[in-house]
Amino acid sequence: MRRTAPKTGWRAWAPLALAFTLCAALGHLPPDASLRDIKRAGLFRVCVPAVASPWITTDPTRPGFDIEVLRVVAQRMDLGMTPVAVSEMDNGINPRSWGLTRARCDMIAGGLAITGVTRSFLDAGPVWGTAGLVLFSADGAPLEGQDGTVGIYLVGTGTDRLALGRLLRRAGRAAQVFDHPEALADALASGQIEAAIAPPDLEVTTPGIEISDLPAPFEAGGAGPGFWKGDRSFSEEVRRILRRMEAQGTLSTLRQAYGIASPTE
Amino acid sequence: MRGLALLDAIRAVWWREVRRTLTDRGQLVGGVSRPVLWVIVLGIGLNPWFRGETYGDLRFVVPFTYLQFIFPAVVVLNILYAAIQSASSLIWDRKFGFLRELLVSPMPRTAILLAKVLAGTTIAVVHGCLVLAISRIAGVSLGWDTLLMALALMAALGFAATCLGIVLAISLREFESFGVFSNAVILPLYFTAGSVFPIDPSFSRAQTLMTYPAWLVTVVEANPLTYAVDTMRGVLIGWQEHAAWIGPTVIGTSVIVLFALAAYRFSRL
Repeated sequence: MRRTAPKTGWRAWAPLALAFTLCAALGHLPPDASLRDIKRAGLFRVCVPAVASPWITTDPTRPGFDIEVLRVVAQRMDLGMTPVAVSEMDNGINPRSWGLTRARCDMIAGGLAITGVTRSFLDAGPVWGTAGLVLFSADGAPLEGQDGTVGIYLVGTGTDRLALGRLLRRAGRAAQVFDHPEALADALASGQIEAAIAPPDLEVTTPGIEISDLPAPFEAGGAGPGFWKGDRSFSEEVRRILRRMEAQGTLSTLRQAYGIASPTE
Repeated sequence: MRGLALLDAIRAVWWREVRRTLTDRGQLVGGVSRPVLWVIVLGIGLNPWFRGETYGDLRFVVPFTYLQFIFPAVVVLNILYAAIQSASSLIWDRKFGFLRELLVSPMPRTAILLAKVLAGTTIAVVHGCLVLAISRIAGVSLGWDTLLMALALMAALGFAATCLGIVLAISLREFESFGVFSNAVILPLYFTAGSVFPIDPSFSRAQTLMTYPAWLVTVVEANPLTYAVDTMRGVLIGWQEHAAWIGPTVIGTSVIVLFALAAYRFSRL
């Protein structure tokens, strides 16, 4: 009976190399059917608020940064892109009341703040622009220790509105939500409200009003797209295209067009 | 036996074990099949049941997918299997007389044990890396810092698990009974370490006790592997249920206690 001599040298390690190669190859299998389903449908749907300038606007010639970015993404994927306007995202203070489900849309955008809270619910990111909130008040007075109503204009979605409500209650301030930035600026100028919480680009001409930071997690941060958890093949494809758009300067051009600060700035 | 001669002897025993195990196709099949079955088949199979369906819904609010959740646990599983199986070489060595030759050599017993444990550790780390090789499908991104921390943790776990395997192997005379016995140790440890069922991180302990039976929560909390899996999750997916210091403390204590126990049993061979 012949015995096979044990392999020596590099050939002895060939099975181990093969095992690693096999694992690495298997790691490239599609982890889910999300991309396949979207390609089969020929389009992806994006839940957005009706208005969240500059991310979403009502102007068809300048539909908003998020819409324009996602149109390019869809074009490069050879797919259609349908924005689904969700009015609850404009008015509701609680994400649970927005009624966003997988059946309604394939992703979420519209100035979505990329925070720990957002990441708990969604596979969020990458950050494609800077969003966030600041406090406008007389001489930069803090929320605490002052009286009067605070006007709020939230353009982004995904802000932890419950925490914002808690912050205002702790400071003992009443809140009034505004639908348009101009209305908020007018209310501040007329003395209808004593302070305002809004994005830093709010145009305020009232003398003596200064900008100060809000505590975490409301300070200026990132905005980007949100995907449903588990839709990895779709989100990876979108992220791959976004990386290419960033490298080609397409994202930077769109940011400049909408006056959005780059996340690295 | 001193200095370089001792180091050379440790290296020789270590290399014999490492070479024999890592070139053994049978053990490599096991090393590949576990991540394939646990991550690719079970993980992808169950992933849709734990994914986000409604934005803002509080059910299953977890900052990871099921695939990401189970991935660090499978790294630990592969380490456990590889480390404990490598310790089984002790039974063969004893059966075929190689261990007797080693024991009568001038090499101190602790050094022989250390060489075997380091070999088991190396094999375990390599098998852990086999799981890391499929990280892309699980959506786990590995930067250099993450990889280095994971390797250090895998080495510590592999060391402790090899010591445990040696304690088991010394207690048994037949290789067949070792296989059954090791499965009876590895699988219960694995399943009761919070490896396969996610616990909502927003749960307080009282809420956890309302969701799961108290006996299961107690078993999970008493299992040292729970904290090892938890620490591996902290390293690989940036989320852990328990305080960050608990895992390294439990693993460090296990390394010392299990090595001391293995040394005691080995000295009485």
